[in-house]
Amino acid sequence: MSWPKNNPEPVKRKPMTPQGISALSKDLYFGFKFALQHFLSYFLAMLGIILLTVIMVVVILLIVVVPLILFVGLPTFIVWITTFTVEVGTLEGTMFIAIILMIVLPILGPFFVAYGSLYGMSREIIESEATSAESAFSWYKKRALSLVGGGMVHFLMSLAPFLIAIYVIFATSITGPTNEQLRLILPVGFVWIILSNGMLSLTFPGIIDGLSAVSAAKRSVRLCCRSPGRVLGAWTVYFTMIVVPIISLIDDQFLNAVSVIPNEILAPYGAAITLLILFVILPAMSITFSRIYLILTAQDESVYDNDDDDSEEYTIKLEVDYDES
Amino acid sequence: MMNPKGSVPEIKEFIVISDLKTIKLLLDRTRADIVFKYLVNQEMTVKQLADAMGKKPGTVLHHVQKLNNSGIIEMVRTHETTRGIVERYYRAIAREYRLGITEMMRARTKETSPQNPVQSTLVGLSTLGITISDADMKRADDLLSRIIEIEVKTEKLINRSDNTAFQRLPTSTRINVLKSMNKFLLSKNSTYNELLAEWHDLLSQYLNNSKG
Repeated sequence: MSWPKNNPEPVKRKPMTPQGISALSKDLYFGFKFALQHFLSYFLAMLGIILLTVIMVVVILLIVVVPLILFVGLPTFIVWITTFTVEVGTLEGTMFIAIILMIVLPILGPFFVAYGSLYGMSREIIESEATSAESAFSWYKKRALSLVGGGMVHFLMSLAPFLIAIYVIFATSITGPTNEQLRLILPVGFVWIILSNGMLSLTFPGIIDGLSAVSAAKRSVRLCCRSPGRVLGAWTVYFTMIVVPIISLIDDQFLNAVSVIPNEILAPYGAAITLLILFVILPAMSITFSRIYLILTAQDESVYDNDDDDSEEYTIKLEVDYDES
Repeated sequence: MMNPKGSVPEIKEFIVISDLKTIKLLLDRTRADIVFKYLVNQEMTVKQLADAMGKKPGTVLHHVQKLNNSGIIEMVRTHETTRGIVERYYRAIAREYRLGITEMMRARTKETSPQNPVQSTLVGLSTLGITISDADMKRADDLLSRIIEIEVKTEKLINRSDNTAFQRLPTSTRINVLKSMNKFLLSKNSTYNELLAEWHDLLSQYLNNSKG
């Protein structure tokens, strides 16, 4: 027999942050609003970062290429480059993947850092309403390694199933997929790329917040699982905004349905789309995800409140564990 | 609405910092100002701090992140404004910060002199006319190292960061108590006394030589 409880434990209220379409539309609205308000800062920062990234890629290539030329001689090096595709095609699965990754990842590294430093600027805007073009370089310098790591996590997670498939095809006697199978595999792969990158879309804001690449990726997945509508919704909108205009530029029979742009205006349309993506959509995207990150982590740490007094569901009770010792 | 909903965790009266890295972090003027001038008194956002200090928000944000990661300050709440800004409010975790004496001495030694305590003592003795010869240098170095090692160990026994009553004492009182107890405990340590006697013998030789 046990004594009846006359002092039941209080039910803990689960902290809540805004969800659904209203929250998503707010995130998108403020993303574009701040991107346009700080257009000049982002424009100058992007120009500087693109220049710096190109220089970094050239430096990385020189670091690899120059010693190689000195070691094997220029003629041999040229022969290597020209026969490279054939040689790679004959490699075994693991070696093939390793070689491709060894070539691709160092070149992508500077791009990851460049993209990540945009999130630094956006964090400053969302938290303090101000930023400057030079801030991007400050983040570029201070978080370079983690941002490269974050980019690699994105890259490897997106391509992981494909790399495993390539490995299996090479390592076993399984023949490649038939056209019919590809019709099923490609859409599934496409969905995987969207989903995995969507779930990792808060990785860069996490790195800017001081987390390591792996911790930021884990936190991004956790936050996305808690608020899938808000995170994946924003991601899908931006993905569509970036990918659809790019696809419409590609002259391919398969993509005829979306290739609605007349050939005469294809070139100016392409230039306009590129500028729009670089200087407006990417900054807006980084602002939106920085904002979502700050709000969702506040919920994570139970320290969220907002100006909407009427909406009770938005408010949470502070439940910070505090160690008195 | 700017006030947090629910109970805000109470700020501690004081904490003792004994980690060398944290002490060094606070040696930076901007970071020290953020903590001791502003965040010990009230919770503030990065923007408020930047405005108060006349610095760029980006610069302040970097410093705040470092302080937050080291646990000197904490984020107490996040507030979403109607303008779309998401403000994070930070506050010092204590009203007063005290440095652990041992670590403070170590930090000072490292800041002012790159030499270790043994080397700096030997160099310091030369200013008193006691220049240890090369033949005796190894012995002197060995003796001093062991003496200092025992002294540091003894000091750590007394100056414990978990002894809050002791850490609450004013700095001058703590130093006096520390000196007094150190002397007492060391006088009871036979190894220490033997080493000290040997060291004094060595010093006496040099003092006699210099008199001669």
